[in-house]
Amino acid sequence: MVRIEGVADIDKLKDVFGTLKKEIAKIIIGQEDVVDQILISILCGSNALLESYPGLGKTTMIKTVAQILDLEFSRIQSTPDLIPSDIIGTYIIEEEHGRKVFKFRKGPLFANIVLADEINRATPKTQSALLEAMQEHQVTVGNQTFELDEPFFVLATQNPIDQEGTYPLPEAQTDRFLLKIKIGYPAFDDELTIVNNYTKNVKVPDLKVLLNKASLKNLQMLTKEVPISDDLTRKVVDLINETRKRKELIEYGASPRASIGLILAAKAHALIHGRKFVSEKDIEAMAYPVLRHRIILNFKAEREGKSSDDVIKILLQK
Amino acid sequence: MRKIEKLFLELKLEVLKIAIFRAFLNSIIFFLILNLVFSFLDVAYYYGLVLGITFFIINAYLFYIQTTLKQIEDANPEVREMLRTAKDTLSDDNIMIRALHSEIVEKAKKIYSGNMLNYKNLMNRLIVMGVLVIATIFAATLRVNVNEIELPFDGIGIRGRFTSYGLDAPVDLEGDLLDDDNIYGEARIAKLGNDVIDLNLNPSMSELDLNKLKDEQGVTLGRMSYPVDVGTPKGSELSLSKKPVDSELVNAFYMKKIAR
Repeated sequence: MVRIEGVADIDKLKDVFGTLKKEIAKIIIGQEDVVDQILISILCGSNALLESYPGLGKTTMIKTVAQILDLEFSRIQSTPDLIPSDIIGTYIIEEEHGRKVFKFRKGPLFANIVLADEINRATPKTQSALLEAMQEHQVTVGNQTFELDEPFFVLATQNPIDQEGTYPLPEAQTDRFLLKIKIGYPAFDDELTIVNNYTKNVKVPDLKVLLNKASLKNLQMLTKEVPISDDLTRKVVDLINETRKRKELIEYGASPRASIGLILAAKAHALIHGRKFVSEKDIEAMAYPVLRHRIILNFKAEREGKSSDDVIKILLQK
Repeated sequence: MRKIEKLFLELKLEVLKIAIFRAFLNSIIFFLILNLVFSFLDVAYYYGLVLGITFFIINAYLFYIQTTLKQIEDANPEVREMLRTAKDTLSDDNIMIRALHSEIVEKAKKIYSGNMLNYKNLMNRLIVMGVLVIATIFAATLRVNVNEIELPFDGIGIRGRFTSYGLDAPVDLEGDLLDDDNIYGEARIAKLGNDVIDLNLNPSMSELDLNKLKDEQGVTLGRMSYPVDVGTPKGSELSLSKKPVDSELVNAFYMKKIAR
């Protein structure tokens, strides 16, 4: 377990994260960037939106992370007929000592890591119940409020294809996700290893629990304490301002929430890579997952075939 | 004082060292140039020294105030961002900042003034100094004195004279001077300055004969040197008394001697 008591313990953090990633790599082959970004969103105490095609190991990845971090995991498969009580919980009648009483049965939302699969398939009403939980870390049922167990993360997924019959998340709500993580197809060698592992009677390796809730809280606190220079802070705010000024490419730019998110994510990125300060490399690495779901391209940019990542690259090069 | 504040103080001292070293090199070049120029004007070396020291102080001060943290960062890119972040968070205190300061103090041991020296510039300055030293030595051996160059225009042609110790400098004389021995006056009588000196010698002593002037071996007659051997014609009676003489005639006499 990680205990930070002095300056000397900070130097050991790089090894801690290295061991964490090695443990995850026993199950998840490749996708190091994705694993990093999931850890970053956890360290920032925020939520992430995962966009990937089916069958790329999203559920396995998040389950593995939850196991190593000793966090309770639950999965919500979103469908159009999903109602809020299906995820929040509901009152049921139980018999107790010969009497019938209402007892609140907690829903899958009462976990530490919640995987909301294909969130764009759930109805707006169910989406808003989830989003409320994400924002407030509590749920209200009737006239009772239930606090969610800390730490609490929602990792929502979206399928970029099969958009028929879906309810895309409005931009105002996607803004609440710190990162939008794109999961791509694995490299050839990685896919070869995956195929070999999952088509033979290979024993699934046991995973070690490396962190607990207390350690995770310590790390979350440390993330916020990572120092950043004034000119980098100005650079971040300048970048977000640029998203609002470049009308020839961007219809709607990012909000100040993006500035906060980018700096926090850069701090977490620095911590994971063993740095005790935020570097320009951290800002550049985190700009893409932080901004890609917060900017709306105009028709001209879309007609030219530009993606959000292309536009972010143009802004960073300025 | 915290370690990081001590570090920034040490970095300032490193900057000061560099400023002094660079100003020192520049002031040596300045002094050598002045020395070379002054050697032609027969000006004493200590004027150049005083100006050189003044230049050193001003140059060192200007270098010091112009050198910023940015230049230290540019010279040491591996600690650039760390230094910048530490400087901006000096007033904050938490475990991460203390860890950062600790790491900088460790890495700063590898920062030394040598990193901030441009070696190409340094070599160029040393070459320039070498050239100036050689030029100064060469100028010193020539003993060129601009003040002693005489260029009168008095109708009898241009006369010029160069003094050079140890060298036989040819003299180019124009006009009637060489042709008229009478301007030298009586060869038997030595004329010194504006006075005529009549030497009274005991007839029993050696004779004074100006025609028997001999040079000391290896010594060429030049300005301010006089014949060693003086002879008197037999039977002549010379008395030492002062009469006004033309100093030019004396000079002309020696010039004739040199021409031979």
